[in-house]
Amino acid sequence: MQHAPTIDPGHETSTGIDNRKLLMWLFLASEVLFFGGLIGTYLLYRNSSVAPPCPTDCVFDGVTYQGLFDIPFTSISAFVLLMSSVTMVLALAAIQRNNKRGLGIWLLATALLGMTFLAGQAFEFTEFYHEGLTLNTNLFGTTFFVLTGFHGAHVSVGVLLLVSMFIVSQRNDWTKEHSLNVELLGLYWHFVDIVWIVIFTLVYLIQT
Amino acid sequence: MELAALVLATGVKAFFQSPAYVIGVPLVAVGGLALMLALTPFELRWPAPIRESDLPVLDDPPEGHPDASEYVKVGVFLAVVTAVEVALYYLDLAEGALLGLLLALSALKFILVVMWFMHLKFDNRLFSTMFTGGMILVLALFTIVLATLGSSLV
Repeated sequence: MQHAPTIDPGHETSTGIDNRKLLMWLFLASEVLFFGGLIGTYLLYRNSSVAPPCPTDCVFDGVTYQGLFDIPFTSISAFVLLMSSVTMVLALAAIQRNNKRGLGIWLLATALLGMTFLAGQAFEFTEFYHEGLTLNTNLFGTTFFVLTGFHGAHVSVGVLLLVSMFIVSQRNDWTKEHSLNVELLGLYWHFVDIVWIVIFTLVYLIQT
Repeated sequence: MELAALVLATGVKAFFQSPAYVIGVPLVAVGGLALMLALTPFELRWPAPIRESDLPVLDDPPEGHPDASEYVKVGVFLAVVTAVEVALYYLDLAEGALLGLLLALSALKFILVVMWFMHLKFDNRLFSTMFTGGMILVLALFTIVLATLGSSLV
């Protein structure tokens, strides 16, 4: 079954830009505010917990509690997600050159890196839970799990989209005419990556 | 089995109190479903079976877009910047200096991904204008809100 190209070169818009791309950027703008609110809330309450556990070493009632954050482990997670952005953009570069096989390989690589990141997050959440941190333990638990949980949910959606795009692209005649589809998914995936760049610095590395 | 034993032993409420299970179990279920769909030997009505493209692979990227090697170079640079960030975390620097350096390196990574991987550097200027304007407004808003409400960072 032949599919018609998804881009109509003769279609003109009042802005001169493809409406789908403009819509994706507007969606990402709303996501900036969404994650900005969650990051802002975390920063606001970061030192306000009145009970352990804490992200870094803390003292309650004369007892010292060891911090939960494992920076080497999270650094590897951050590196994995960063590299998934590289494989995503290589997928776009491949389909722009009519390289359907290259597109498939890089899409799968991106999905696998995304799943590795999610596995790391599930492991981290499990560790924190065993240390006594839940959603309702203290303000740190609430703000941390909501912020990183929503980010993980975005990565999960991205992985599902990547796997779906891999299946559809490999079972149809995808050429450079379809590159906008890959570019739009790429925009979403890179956005998820830059959110983690901010979270990694503000939540994990900066401990003021 | 272990999961079923946990639910039987502690009840459904305890299961839902663990963020690892709440996030992990649906993820594994959906991932397994996607894998089954991808590897299914049956020819489904949709999607159509895999077909090889008969179009030749082009040598050059489209006009205005960088070559794949450029993306790899940016990726390597981003990895190096991340390594520097982590190294700085372990150095015994003054709090203010560390804060400034980490924020600057994070902003550098952010800008590189947006400019190169999200193509703002090569795309229509309308996107850059929208994005830069929005970022300035958001940063101003959060600085004011966090400073007003007393965040330790601002």
